[in-house]
Amino acid sequence: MKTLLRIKFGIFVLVIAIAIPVVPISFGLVTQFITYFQQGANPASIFRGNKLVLPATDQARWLTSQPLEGASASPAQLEELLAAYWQAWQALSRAYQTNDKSDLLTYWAGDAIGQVERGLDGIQKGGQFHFTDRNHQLQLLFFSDDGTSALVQDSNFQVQYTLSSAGRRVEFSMDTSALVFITLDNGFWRIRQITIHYH
Amino acid sequence: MRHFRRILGFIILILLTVLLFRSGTRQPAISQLGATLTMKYVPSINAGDLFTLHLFWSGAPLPTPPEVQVTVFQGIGVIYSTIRLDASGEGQWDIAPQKLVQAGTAAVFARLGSTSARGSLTVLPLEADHLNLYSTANTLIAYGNAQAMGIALMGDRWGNPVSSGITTAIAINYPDGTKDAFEIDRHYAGFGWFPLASRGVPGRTSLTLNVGDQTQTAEIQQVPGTPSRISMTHFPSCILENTTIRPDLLELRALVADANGYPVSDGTVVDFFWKDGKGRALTLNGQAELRIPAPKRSGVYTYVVRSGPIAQGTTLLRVATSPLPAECLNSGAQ
Repeated sequence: MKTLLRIKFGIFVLVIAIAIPVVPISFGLVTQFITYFQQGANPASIFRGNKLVLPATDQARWLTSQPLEGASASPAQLEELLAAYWQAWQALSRAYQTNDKSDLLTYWAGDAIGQVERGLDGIQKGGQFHFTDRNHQLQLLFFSDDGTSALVQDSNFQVQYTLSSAGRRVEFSMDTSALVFITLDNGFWRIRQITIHYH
Repeated sequence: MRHFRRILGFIILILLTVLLFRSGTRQPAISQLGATLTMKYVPSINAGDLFTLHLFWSGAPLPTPPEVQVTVFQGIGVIYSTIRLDASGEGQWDIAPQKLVQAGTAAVFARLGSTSARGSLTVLPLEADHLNLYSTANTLIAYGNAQAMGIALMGDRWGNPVSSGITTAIAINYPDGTKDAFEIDRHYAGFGWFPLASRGVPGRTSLTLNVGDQTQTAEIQQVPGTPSRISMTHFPSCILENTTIRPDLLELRALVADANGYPVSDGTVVDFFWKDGKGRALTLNGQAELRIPAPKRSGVYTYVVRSGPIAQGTTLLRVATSPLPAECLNSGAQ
């Protein structure tokens, strides 16, 4: 009887000894697997990792539900547009913080991506910027009848820049408005033209 | 009471430490009272122009060091520098050409110690350097039966949307030879749109956008309408039963046109039906052909053709015994 108990105990110890390294490794692998399919918004990916993440109302919201000109937009189209627009600013914020521009191409295109890259190039030489934005209030000025082009007025949103350069740290907060032209390319809304006014 | 004294002593110790630390921090040895930092510059420039900012210090002794931190936010970009004021409290910052290139309203900040100034600068876009013209439909049904939107995008050499006040001229050449020309009256900065209706017969419609000395063209295809008229023939028109020259195959031909008599678009599906079978063919220049086994026994055979929801036609084939029926004599029957 004692021998049987010893064998059982030995098996138990052995299983525990194996489980201690195997469980965390397995968990890590599963996490990596899930993360792989959720990361980034690579337009080339067949998985289209871009999720529809709607911003909170104090981050971005529509002031009107229908355009002043052109065709009407469905609630789903408005949500996609809002989410992509918010993500575009988030990608810009990440680029300011990390100097990694790889995410920008998902949300910025045409003339606008050239402006973004020029703007970031100027900053990288001199110091580090942190950039945050909030309270985007959008008005749809135009929406095309094929649902692939939109002109958006973004009024009185707040941007805050924090400059860290040569041992100094300065914060700038500004009320801002922007006129933005956005197109739907290969399933992704991208900012193509932008004019920004700091108030 | 003893505890109260200890606590009070501890608080006083902390306060003394804070005061000592503050007195040891190097603050600009300036009196900010009454000090004014003034910026002077032109209210607007063209994108990419040289920008000169003049700084003036007044109302208080010049701080040491007399260095002004100046930051300009323009579009999605920031330019900053440190400008040293001279003994009279004046300084100048020249932002080189091709630096301030993003149109819009830039924010200009200057700060010296705790004195700061803020202003706005309008950066105007240049003339159109590149254009994009496209329509929301690549094809339109002809005869004025369809409508789409034409969209024009106009950017300057720095990628700024051009001013909304510019003249954007559109010229349209329709397949029937008629022309249309107008200015886009619905536009914002760098963006304009116009309703685009088909006109005339099927064919290519060319669009031309002119802004300043820039031109951009686009083309859309006006296509025929849906199948509306259909006629069918067959070859041979009659067949003689039990002859050695009786054909193995019967060729069915359908001519499909829209309501205006124009051949339908290539690739339009045409379905053929007969007593014990059916077949399908696609149009080329409005004509669809299908070859099927020819009937062998004498009789009258009915063939039906359909295309689209309304177009339908019928033809009859007579398979006769010798002699050939009179109605087949002049129709090339075998």
